[in-house]
Amino acid sequence: MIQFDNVSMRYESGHEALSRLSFHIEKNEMVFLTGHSGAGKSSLLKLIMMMERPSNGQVIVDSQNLNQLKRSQIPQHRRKIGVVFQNHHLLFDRSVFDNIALPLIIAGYDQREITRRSRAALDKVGLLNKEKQNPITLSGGEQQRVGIARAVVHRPSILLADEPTGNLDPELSAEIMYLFEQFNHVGVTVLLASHDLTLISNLKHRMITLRDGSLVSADE
Amino acid sequence: MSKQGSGAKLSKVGFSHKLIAWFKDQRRVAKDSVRRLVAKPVNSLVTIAVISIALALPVGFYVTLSNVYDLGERWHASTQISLYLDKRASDAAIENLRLDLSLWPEIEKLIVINKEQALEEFKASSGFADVLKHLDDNPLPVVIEVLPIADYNNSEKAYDLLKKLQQQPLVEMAQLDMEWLQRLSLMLQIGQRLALALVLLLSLGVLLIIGNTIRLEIENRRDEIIVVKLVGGTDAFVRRPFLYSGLWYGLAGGIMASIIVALAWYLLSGPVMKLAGLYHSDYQLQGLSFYDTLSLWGMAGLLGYFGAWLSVSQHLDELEPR
Repeated sequence: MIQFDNVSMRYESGHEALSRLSFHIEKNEMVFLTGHSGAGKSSLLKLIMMMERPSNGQVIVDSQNLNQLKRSQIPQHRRKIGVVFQNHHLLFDRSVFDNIALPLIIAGYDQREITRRSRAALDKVGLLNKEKQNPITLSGGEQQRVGIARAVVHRPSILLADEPTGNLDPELSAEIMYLFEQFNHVGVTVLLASHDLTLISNLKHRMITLRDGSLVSADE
Repeated sequence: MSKQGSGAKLSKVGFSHKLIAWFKDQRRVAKDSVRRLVAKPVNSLVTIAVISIALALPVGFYVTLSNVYDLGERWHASTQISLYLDKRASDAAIENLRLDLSLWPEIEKLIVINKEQALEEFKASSGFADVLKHLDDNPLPVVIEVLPIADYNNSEKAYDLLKKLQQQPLVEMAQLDMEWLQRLSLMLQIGQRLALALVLLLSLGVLLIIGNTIRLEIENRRDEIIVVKLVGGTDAFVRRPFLYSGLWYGLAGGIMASIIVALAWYLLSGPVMKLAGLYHSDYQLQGLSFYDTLSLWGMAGLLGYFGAWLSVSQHLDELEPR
């Protein structure tokens, strides 16, 4: 589903964020991406999202070589992917429901379908009773769950998460992890970046470990 | 796009559905951008007021010009040539000339003013009645007023006619009082050029105002733009709300400009009619016609849209998710 072939990425500043990465993530797999901060986890996710382009090598997502995609094709590519951020990127000028509905509005669903799917996603993360609230009134854990609901509402085949539990206590973190596992169980390929080894080592999933932009291990 | 996997989910949304969704989205964004304007009434009103003033200036100038042009046309329409005849000409010779001229195809009407009539008219209008009493002899010649047919109101043709009339034997002097009309028409041409320059300059101003307003709006909605781009919003989708904002700003500015011009017309038309009355004229101040008003709104809307488009294309690329 996600394949990196000898991928290097250098920022304009000259800093090499990733060097010669090769690995493969199967369809329906759940994989943790670990390493210290600055090891290149976020850069790797950005390549998959096409927020950055590799300076070398190729990234293949869903059988599509991303190097071949034009700028105008990026939106279609991103619609296959749900993404969750540490700081959730929620919009505080609208309700929880409107935040979650955004990907569906963009994809052009009709209003009934938007309502149905948004409610379903909210139900999944246990926030159906808060749909009319402004996300700013929610707790950190709840905000993160809204972010997850938004990432999965359009039923992407790939779910990326960048330190989704970064600001949460262990109990809430475990809940969030459980949510990701549930999505994985229904067939979503999940790639989750986290440096919280105590949390993820309890969960039996493959780990890809980075150090200074290089692959340390990509094994079970 | 690959046929397997998730791609299929997107293709569930058929083309006709997409078209309907597109129209619905246009409506949603159009409404949403109006709501945003109304949500900040003071800011929006100030922007709209600035735009409307910038538009009202050239439009007001244009209305003034077309009024002056109208007036000029009226005078043009009453072009006449006065033939001052030789004082020694006999009545019979004058009658012959009159008959001769009346056969000319380019002449619509002739009025012969004999010496006595001319004197009476002069006394009545000049205020020199007392002076004239002391003259033994009537110093005024017989005058024939020639009114050319409408086709000859055009100044060149009128001049040709003037030359022809001047060559008539009894005619001492032929006078076409049109030089000032030519000056007026030249001045109108200058005025039109000025109006054009004003339109271009102030349109540029409107573009800049709207561009800047939209730039601020983009800045305010930065987070939203980034999120939209991250969840697969196309450039068109991101651009749409700002284009609508620009359109509304322009349109509202245009409507307000037409109100300003209408108000000015209302304030001026009373005094102008009184003035025209003093000149025994039924002249009425022309305002903006229905068609002009619609064009103004259309142009203003387009200006707004285009200004927003310029601003969005300049600033959108800066807002890539990083």
